[in-house]
Formats: sequence, structure tokens, C-alpha cells
Amino acid sequence: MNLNHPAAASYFGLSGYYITWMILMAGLSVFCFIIFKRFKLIRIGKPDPRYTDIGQRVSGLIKDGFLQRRQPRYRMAGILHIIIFWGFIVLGLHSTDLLISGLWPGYAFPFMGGLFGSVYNSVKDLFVLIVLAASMVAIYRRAVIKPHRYQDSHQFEAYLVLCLIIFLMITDMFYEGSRLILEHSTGGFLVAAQLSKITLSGASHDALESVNRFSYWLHILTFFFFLNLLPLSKHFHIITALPNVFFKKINRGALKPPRWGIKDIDQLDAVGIQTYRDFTWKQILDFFTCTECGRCTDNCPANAVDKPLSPKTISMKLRDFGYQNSPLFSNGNIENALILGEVIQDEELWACTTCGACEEECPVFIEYIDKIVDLRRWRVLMESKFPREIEQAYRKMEIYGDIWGMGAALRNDWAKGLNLKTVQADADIDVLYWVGCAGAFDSRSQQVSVSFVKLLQKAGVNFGILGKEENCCGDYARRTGNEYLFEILAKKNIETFHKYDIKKIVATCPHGYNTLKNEYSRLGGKFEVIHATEYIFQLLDENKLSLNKELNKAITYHDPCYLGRHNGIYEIPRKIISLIPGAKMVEPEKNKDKSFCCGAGGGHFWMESSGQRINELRTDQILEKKPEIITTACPYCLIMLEDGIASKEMKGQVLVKDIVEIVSEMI
Amino acid sequence: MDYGGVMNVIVCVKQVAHIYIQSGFDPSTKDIVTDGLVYRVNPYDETAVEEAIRIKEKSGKGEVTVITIGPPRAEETLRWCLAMGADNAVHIVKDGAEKQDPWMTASILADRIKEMEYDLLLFGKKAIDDEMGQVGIFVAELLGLPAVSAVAKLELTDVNKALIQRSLEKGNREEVDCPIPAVFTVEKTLNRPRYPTFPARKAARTKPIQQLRVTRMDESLSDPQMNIVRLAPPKLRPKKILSPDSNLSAAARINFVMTGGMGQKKGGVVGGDPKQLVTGIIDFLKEKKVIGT
Repeated sequence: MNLNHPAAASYFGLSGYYITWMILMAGLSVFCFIIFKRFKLIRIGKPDPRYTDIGQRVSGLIKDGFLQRRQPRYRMAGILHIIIFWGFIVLGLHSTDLLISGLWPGYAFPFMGGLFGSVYNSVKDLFVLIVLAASMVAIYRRAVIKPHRYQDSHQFEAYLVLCLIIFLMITDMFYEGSRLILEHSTGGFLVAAQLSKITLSGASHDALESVNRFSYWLHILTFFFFLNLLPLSKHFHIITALPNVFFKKINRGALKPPRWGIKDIDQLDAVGIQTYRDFTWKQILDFFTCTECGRCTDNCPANAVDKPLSPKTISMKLRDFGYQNSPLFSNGNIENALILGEVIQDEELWACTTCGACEEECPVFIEYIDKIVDLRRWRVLMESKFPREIEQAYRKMEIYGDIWGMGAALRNDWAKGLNLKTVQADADIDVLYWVGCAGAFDSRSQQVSVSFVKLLQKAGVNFGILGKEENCCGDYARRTGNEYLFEILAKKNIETFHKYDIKKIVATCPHGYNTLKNEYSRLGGKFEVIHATEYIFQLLDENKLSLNKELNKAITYHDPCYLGRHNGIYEIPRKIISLIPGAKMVEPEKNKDKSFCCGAGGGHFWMESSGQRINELRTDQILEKKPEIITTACPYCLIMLEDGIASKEMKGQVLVKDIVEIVSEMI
Repeated sequence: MDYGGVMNVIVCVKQVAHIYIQSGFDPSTKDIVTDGLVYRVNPYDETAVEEAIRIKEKSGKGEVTVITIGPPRAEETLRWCLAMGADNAVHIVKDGAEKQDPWMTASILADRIKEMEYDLLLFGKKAIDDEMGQVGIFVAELLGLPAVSAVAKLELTDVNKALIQRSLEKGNREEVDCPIPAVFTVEKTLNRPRYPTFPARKAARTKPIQQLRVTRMDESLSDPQMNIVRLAPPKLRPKKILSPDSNLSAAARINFVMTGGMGQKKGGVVGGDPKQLVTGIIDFLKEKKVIGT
């Protein structure tokens, strides 16, 4: 016997089909209205070309969107999320099917009758149970385990949504269960329905019919309530996450230009973010997409040492601010409402080391560095309001061409006696060694430069340096928001490269490497840039160098942010260490893309710091694995970690070395 | 504070080569080798420009005019001052490398300034390259104006009077008042010059700069009052110019670089309730043997 559809009955003299239509129309129009409002907010944003590299975007969408690749980085939460995500996809189809079946008598989804239908029904019914269980565990985690990263999140919304999911599952179970009994059907593999059948057994026909109808209407109503709750809450990510993943930033090493589509900064009258208008549409989409999971903040080095920065809070504050100032039923003041000093405080802005750990962790690819730098740009370039130490650094970079304030006349002093070729004397070289300001002026980093030169000489490489014509690369200026100064410095360097017809550049400093490689091309730089570790590995591979000596020590490697996360070079330095005879590699717990910043990035090497220092925390993390030698591949990491070791009074017991130095000692 | 009247301020600035840059000495010019030098606004002059702009901003009326004498590259210095907020710039272009003593410089400047309208003339106390500190005072002499040097605090009390604190040795201050128009040469402690914004720098690049050739002033040039006989390099003190010792902590190294190699001053802060404060201070004084035990 086939059961009458709940919509086939009439309620208070009104046909159920009409009721379904009414719910559908009301639910959809409210939803469209809210989405329209949200879309209008996105439309205030500035342009951002995110339609290139479609292949990469589609594959990212599949891997990071549908396959949720980043979720299991937090195992328990990740698995729960994957279950609920896939449950949504499977059960969303079912809910739609239920809804549509209530619109016309006898209407059913195509394919649902055949084999696909029965397989689908079994799968979806299994998912009902799994999602139900996952949601309950999720509630348990929030309420009992209370992971620290959920602090300050909108907890009520989270519980509400989990309860709604549970409610959707239960109504579905009772709808299907009562249907099975009323239809005298065995139900086959419908596990969830079978389960509810047990609780419903013994009920009268009328009672079962009421349960059946009641759960149907509750399910539909909850469905629309839920749908409309999405764009009003942090659960907007259910709609925006996949687009956000699709439109993710492809070239992570390069900071966003002050405005997309301009050739240089002179075309602009204002630079940076003052109000919502100055965000790009993608940055606004980011705010909508934040799920408040707190993985970003959990991995933020500044947050770890109690600095007033929490990437999650930045997204939340800016989203809430956006909604508040573009209310649903009036026009709001979003175009003029100020952000800096009101929503975002300067202390937050200047605490960021631009290490990228937050962006690496975010399951929906929200970008933070570009926004923070854009906000810094407003403070630096438009208001001239920023920490004093930075001003000193700017003046030195602009006047002397280096942040150390030593000047071109002293730039070559480190190379005395090395018999080095400068391009001024002979521009016929295969590769240019970009020494960088640290390599040229800091006495510790000079040792690395000397090691690298000896190594290149041993390998018989025809290389040269720019000598006195090398200038600050501008990384510091750019990341602290002084785009104007960056362009001055970068253009000067690009001119020099082109003057000597430089085709290939190798850099020991990851900051210079990243800037030259990823950021100079926009200003017209055309050359290949590789990092010293890549080059060394290539020389080892070509047998131009060989590691002969033994090093029976426990070695660890600290991933510099600008080599690792920003440029994806994780394996090459490890391969080099593995080629050292006798070397025993120990990995700190936070390694590779989870590496913890040394504390120097984003301008922090030259800024005052109070409270606990990031480099000391990182040193503690590394020392847990009891290495005898700590290696890294960045002059700033080197100094910061050496300083960390010194603060532990372990100088001499644990050595801090650049990989370049280790290699040059082993050949 | 409202100064009442219009304040037109003229600031004379100099582009200097940075002193830490060790490029060697050229016996033929009796000067340091200019190849590879880096140039900047003399920091004292920058302070003077900042003060002039603040005076203008406070009174809301008047204009700031910067004047420099120098080769074509000195235009950068004027552009920087315009970006800071100066309204007009005059560049007295001097070609050739021959040295010019302070008296000659002052007479060229005075010759130009006497044709201009001004209420106040500001100079840096000295230039950090030759450390003469004379030009401002000579200009005052040539224009018949009062001059106050080493101005560490400047207050314009009414339309034609200024209250000034001069910095003396060991942190002592001398307070003087002075009628204006006058010439003031300022200390770096007077203020902290601003870092120009991007729109200001962009606008400054295209602002007109009045250019005068040095030939026009040849007639007014008097003979140099002094000649440089020889310039001697300092005895080498490698510690001061070398990069910081890598044995220092990063923080100490940054401090070293930022302060130009000066060590941190020793000192302490006592905290706590009044009783603890008193005990702390007494202990300190005892320790330093200022009071008996």
C-alpha cells in the first residue's frame, strides 16, 4: 500500500501542496533578499583578477574544496567536518527531493525510482546516522573539551546550527520510519529509518500518520530556516567556502599590489585600506567565509606570545562591522565608516610577522597578510602614523640603500680577499649572486655569504656580484606597508639588473629571493631567481659538488617562512641534509608548512618587542628534539635562533648554522 | 595657539653627504671623495623645516619657503622639504666643485632673502658634514637681524616676539626672548620631523622650484674669509664603523645600529607602594654612596 504524501492532505482547509509552495516562495524570497544584500556589499569592493589559472583553480576546488584536504590537519575536528560536509551534499539532494515531492501530486525526482534511487536511499540513510553522530560529537567537543581556538567565536550560532542539523536528521528519520510502517515496507537498507521504526512500533495508524506529516513539515520548515540562517551567520561559509577556495590566491609569495590593474603607485591618489570600499571583492568574500574555527589564531606566532593579534578575530570583526554598517533594511554607512582605530587597532596591525601560518592553515583559504599590509599601507603612506623604529629603517633604506644604514661604500667589505668578480668589471657571468643587506652588513650573515662564495668557487661557477650597485630589495618596506619606497628601491634594482643584462640570480636570503622572484616582475623585472639551497642541490646533483666529510650529529632544520610557506621549498634543504654522510635528521614538531616563525618577518627584525619573544618560543620548540646543530636557510632566522640559543645560555652546546655553511664545511 | 598675524617663514637647508660613509680623501679638492657618497637633508635643517611647517599649521596663515645652495642633485633635498609641507622652494644652483666658505654662502643667501617677505628665518644649528654652524649667524649679520642659536624650544608669544629656550652644556637651558623678524638656528631636539605621506611626496615631485644660477650672484659675492688648508681623516676606530658584533643579541645589535653604536644607559626604575619606592631610592643612593649607610 502506498502512503499518501503529507502534502496531499489538507490542513485547515488548505491543500498541503499550496502550503509547500508558500513555504518555498517565502523561504526563497527572504533568502534571495539577504543574498542580494550580501552581494551588494561584495560589489563595493575593488576589482581583483581571480579568473586566471583556471586549471589550477579547478583542481584546488576538487582537492581543497570537495576533498577537504586541509581539514584533517586537525584530525578530530577535520574528520567530523568532512562527514558533515559530505552529509550535506548527499542529504541536501534528499531534502530537495522531499521538498519538490510536496509541490505536485505524484512528482518525484528522476532516477530516484530505479537502482540509483535505492542505492542513494541506502547511502543517504546511512549518512543520516553518521551526520547525527558527528553533530553530537561536535557538540560534545564544543561543550566539554572546549578547544582553546573556539574562544571568542560565536558559540551560540555554532550550537544552533548543530542542533538544526540534528533536528533535520531526526525529522528525516521519523518521516522515513513512519512511512515504512505505514507502507508495511521492510525498508531494506534504510538503517536510520529502521532505527526510528523501533521507537515507533506499536503506535496507532493515526498517530503514525501524524508523526509522518509532522516530521515532513518540520523538516521542510527547518530546511528553510537553516537556509536563511546561513547568510546571517558564520555558516555563510556553507555557501561561500567553495567559491572562496576556487578564487584562492595562486602566487602566495607576492603581496597584492596597492590596486590591481595599475602599473605603478603613482597612478593612485590613495593607497591602502581606510574603509570597506578599499577592500577587494575577494577580501570581502573572505570575511563572509570565515567559519571562526580559529585554526589561524591557533597557529599565529604573534598570538602565541600574547600579542594582541588574532587573525580569526580580524575576520570576525570586519565581517560583523560590514554587516552592521550595511543593514538588511536600510542603507547604512559602510562607504564611510572608518576601520583603523575603530575596528582594527594599530597594535594588531603591527604584531603580524607575515609568516603565513594562518593562511596555510585556513581550510577555506582566507588571506590575512594582504589585508594587514593594505591596512598598514594606509597608516604609513596616507597618515604617516606608524612605529618610530620603522621610520628610522625607511630613512636608512631610502638614503643609504640598506636598512643597516651603512651605505654603498661599505657594501663590498665582506668580500675583501675573496677575489670576487663584480659585474662592473666583467658582466659575462652565468649567475648573479644577490648578497642582500644582511649578507653584506651583518657580521654573522657575512660568514654565510663567504661560505656560499667559496662553495660556488669550488664548483667552478662563473658568477658575479653587483657590488656597490646592489640596493635594498625592499621586502621590509613592502611588508610594513611602504609601497612607495618599495617601488623606488625595486625599480632601481631592476634597472641595474637590466643594465648588466642579468638573466639568472641566486640569493641566500629568502626575503630577497621572494621579493625578486615574485614581486619584481610586476614592475618589469625579467630574470630567473633561485634560492641558494636550490642551487646547491642542483650543483650536488650535477656532481659539481660532493659532500665528502662526515658529520655524526643530530641536525634539525627550521623552515624559513619565505622559503617554505611562501615559496613551497620544503624538501630541497632536507634532501641536502640527507646527503651529508652521518647526519641524523631530527624534525621539530612544527615543521614544513606548519613551521613556526622565528619572529623576524614582516618588519619585526627591526621593531621593538615586549613580553615573551617569538624566537625564544621557537627555540624551545626546536630544542625539544635535542638537536646538536640547528640549520636554517635565512639570515634573519639564523640571527633570531642564535639569539634564542644565547638566551637559553646554551651557546656552544647547540650550534645554529645556515645550510650553506654546513655544505661548505662538508665539501 | 593663534599667533595673530601671518607667519612667513624662510628655512635655509643644506644637502649633506653622510658622515659615516668612508669614501676617502681627495687631496686635489681638499675634500672627501664624492664618488659613491649618499646624500640627505642635513638633519638640523630638517628640524627647522618641521618647525616652520608647525608654525604655519598652528597659525593657519603664511607660507614656508625653503632655500638651498648646491649642485643640481640638491634638488632632492628641496623635494623632500616640499613633501614635508613647505610651500615654495628656491634652488640656487651652484656648478663646479670649488668650496665655498660660510661667509660666501651667507652672502649669497642674504642677497636673495632680502628681496623676499618673511617674518622668521630658520636654520639648522650646524651641518653634519662640515660642522661650521656659521651661515645662519652671518645671514643675520648681513640682514641686520637678531640671531639666536641652538634653539631647543620655540614659542611665538605674540606677533613680533618669540620666547626661546636655548640648549647649553649638560642639558642646561637658557631662556631668552627675541623680537622678530629674527634668525634662529635650531637644535635637533626642537621637534621630531615628520615622515612625508605618499600624496605629499607625489605632489612634491611636480611642484615648481625656482632656480637661480650662481652667476647672477657673482657680483654680490665677497671674497672667502677662510681657506681650507687640509682635511685629515680621523684615526681609525674600527669598532665604531664596523657592523655590530655577532656575539651580541639581536636586540642589542639592532639597538647598536639604531643608536649609531652607543651603549645603553644604565638605569633602573623602582616600583611599588610609596614605602617601597622610598626604600628603593634610599637603597640606590646608598649603593651609589651618595648618602652614608
